[in-house]
Amino acid sequence: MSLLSPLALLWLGITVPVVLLYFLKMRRRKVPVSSTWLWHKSINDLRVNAPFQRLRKSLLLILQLLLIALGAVALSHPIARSSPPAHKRWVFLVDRSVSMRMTDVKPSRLEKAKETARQVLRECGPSDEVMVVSFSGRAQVMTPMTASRTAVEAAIGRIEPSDAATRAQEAYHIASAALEGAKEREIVVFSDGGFEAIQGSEDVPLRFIPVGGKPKNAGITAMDVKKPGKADEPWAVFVQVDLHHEAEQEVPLELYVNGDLKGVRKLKIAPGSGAGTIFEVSKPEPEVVQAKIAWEDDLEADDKAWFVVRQEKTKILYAGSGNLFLENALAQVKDAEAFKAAGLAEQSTGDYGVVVLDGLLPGALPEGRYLVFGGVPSWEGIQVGPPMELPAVVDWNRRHPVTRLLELSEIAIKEAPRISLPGFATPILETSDAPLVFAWEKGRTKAIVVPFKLAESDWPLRLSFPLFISNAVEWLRSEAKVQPKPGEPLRIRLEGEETEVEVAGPSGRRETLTGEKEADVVFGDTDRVGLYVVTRGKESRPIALNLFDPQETRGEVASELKLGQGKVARAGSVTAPMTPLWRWLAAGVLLLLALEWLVYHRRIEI
Amino acid sequence: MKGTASLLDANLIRQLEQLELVVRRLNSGRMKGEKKSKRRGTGSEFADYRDYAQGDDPRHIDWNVYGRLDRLFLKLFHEEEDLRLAIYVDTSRSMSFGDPEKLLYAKRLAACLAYVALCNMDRVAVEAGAAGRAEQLRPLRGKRQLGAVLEFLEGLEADGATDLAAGLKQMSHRNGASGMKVVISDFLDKRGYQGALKWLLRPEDRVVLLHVLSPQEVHPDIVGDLALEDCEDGAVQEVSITAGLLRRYEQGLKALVGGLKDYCRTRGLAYHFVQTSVPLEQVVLNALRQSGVLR
Repeated sequence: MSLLSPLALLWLGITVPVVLLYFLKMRRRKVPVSSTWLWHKSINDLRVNAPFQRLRKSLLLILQLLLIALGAVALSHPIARSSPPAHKRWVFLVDRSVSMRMTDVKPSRLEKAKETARQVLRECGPSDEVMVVSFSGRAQVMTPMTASRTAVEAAIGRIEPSDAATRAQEAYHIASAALEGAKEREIVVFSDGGFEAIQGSEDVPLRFIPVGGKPKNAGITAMDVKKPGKADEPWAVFVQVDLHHEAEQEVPLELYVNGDLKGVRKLKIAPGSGAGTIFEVSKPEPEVVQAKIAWEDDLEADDKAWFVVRQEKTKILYAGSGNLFLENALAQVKDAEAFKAAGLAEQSTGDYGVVVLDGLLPGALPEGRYLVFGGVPSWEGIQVGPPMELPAVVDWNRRHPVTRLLELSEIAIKEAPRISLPGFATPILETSDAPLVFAWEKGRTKAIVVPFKLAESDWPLRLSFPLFISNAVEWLRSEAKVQPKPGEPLRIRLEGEETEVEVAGPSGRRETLTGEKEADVVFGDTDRVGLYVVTRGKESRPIALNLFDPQETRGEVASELKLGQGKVARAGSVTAPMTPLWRWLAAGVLLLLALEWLVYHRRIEI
Repeated sequence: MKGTASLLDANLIRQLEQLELVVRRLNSGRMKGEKKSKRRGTGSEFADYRDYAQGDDPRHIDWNVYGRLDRLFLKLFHEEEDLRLAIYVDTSRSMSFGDPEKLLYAKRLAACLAYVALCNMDRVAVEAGAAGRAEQLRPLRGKRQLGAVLEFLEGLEADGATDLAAGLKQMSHRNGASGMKVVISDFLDKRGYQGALKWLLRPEDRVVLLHVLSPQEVHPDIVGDLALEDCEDGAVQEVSITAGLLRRYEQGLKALVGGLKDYCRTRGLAYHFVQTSVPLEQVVLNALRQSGVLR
């Protein structure tokens, strides 16, 4: 048994005045009786059994002293190990995601989680080993498995909040790997539980200690800036704000264009729902648009969002023997400039945003964005079988940005190779038994492959064709699959002859990244939302990292942790393995109080 | 009649008139009364025959026997004499205790017995006292003396310590003639009762002890840490009254009552324990009749 606050034992000092009071002559009430003779006799009888009787006489005193002692010990927070100390391995998974920045519990959820982790650490046996892993978008091992309490305390202290969303899976993998083979083991998760189910095994005991309260938070969950169709029309800025609060709230939203305040809206939002608004901006032409919620809530990271408007036109290289329909369609693509080359070898593809290969297929394609017609690149995983005669289009991917809203069923094709695709390639047009057109995304290469020859099909004559080309170019030139998120590393390609770029984070910290020509450099310090400015030589380009995560904005505290396949880790308390004894002692105090009351009243009520 | 209202009520008086004191032995009173006497004489109840001797009253010759036997026999009768009732009322200060007050109860008991005696033409003497003082009412006879008896009883006040020995000794001396002696007391005498009761141990006397205690003495309703002050001698006894102590007290009281009972049983005295909470009528009309003190 150990005491959490041994100073409370000073309360034992109360016994001194109690005893003193007891020994002070009692002021007795005088009661006249007819004769003290019988009383005298009775008392003499009592004195015969003196030692025991004297004890009985001071039973009240003994009870009172016992009561004080129990009370003092209870106040000193005694805890006892409920099971014998075993060599146990612990992994503390501390969530440092953006929702842990919420201040609905003071000072913040993360600080509270750290405090709770320290509390659990105190429960650990002297020979137990502890590993601390913090996680947000990525997991970070704060300290490897160690028996040193100071190392663990320091590791817990080092955990800093991040603006990234929560991904717990990686941390869980690290934890279960570290606990492999240990007989006594436990994973303790300190988190608000705002993440998707973990795929984990039931063998490793997992305790979930929820942290957080009821947050009051408004956050920007989506933002988009649309260029007008005509030059004299205003730009449209769409902002979506979600509110998680107990009552309806008017959330003031400010819009800054290139750093100047351009508009303020008050969005009336019902609790638990969202509201979208569209700002119209005519001048100046926006480069960086920032939306900002001017309302004090529990989370700051989702109160600001940035949008960087891409200005330059995409250069499209058409390489092929010439197809009027295709060339026309490419010329129609918005914000793009089409160039034509007879073959690929004489051109460097690096200068072009999208390369269209029409019937041309060099042996090895460098990384890039390709729209391929009339052939299948020899990429890993693609198998080309015998050609299919007159393949009929039976289905197309209606959710893919390239084929969305297109009618493709009536395309007639003379011949197409039968292909089979690896798992990560997405078929977007299919015959009854094989994919026809597919989207390819691997590394920095993105491609839409149409394996049949355009000249052997009636597709170019159909309305869907120019739309397909436009969508495909749009999809191919888009930066990445998803917008970069805080917490994820920024991959920057060194272009041309450059060997270094400078990245400045929102905090103002600058870092120069160096690498080989045409290689990727990685900027990892993306824990905060905001604008990251990439400077190449004289040219600076901002990249916006926004939270845009409704789940983190909601900040709801889960009562249980989903552990995949319906398994659930219930919320555990901090003090499971160490039993606090104060409850028992308090019960003892109550019992003694009742006993004292009884003893006292047995003297009084007959 | 002054005081009748407070000590005896009309209803009780009517019922008392039906009663008489019972003495198991034949009495030898001084005056003719309604109790059979050992002496043969002119009573109405036949006792025996004896040979006529010269000088005997010829009116007592049984002429019918003479006619049959031709011998003179004298008819002997029990002479009916009065009973001498002496009542001792303890008026020590302890008797002023209790609710109802023990002394008042004792006075009413005494009044009842005295009235029964007076109704039966018995002689009633009342003595009262405590340590250092004694009051007495000279023997009275006849219903008309009830007023005097009640007046005397009314005038009694509780004062002084209990000294049964002195009181009973005096009573015994003053009422030397045999008869009924009634002692009404709480017997809370620190010197004990044996020394006092020995003065009553005369074979010719019918002795009745009426032990009067208040309910507060039988089951004390005091609690806690107290200083008990003896009302007679002012002695202070500090006690922490607990259930255990109360049990011991009650055991002590039981021992006192039991001791008195045993003492009386072995010496032919009548003993009655009376709690002042019990109605007087119940004691006089039932208990005392059942035990043969009254008839």
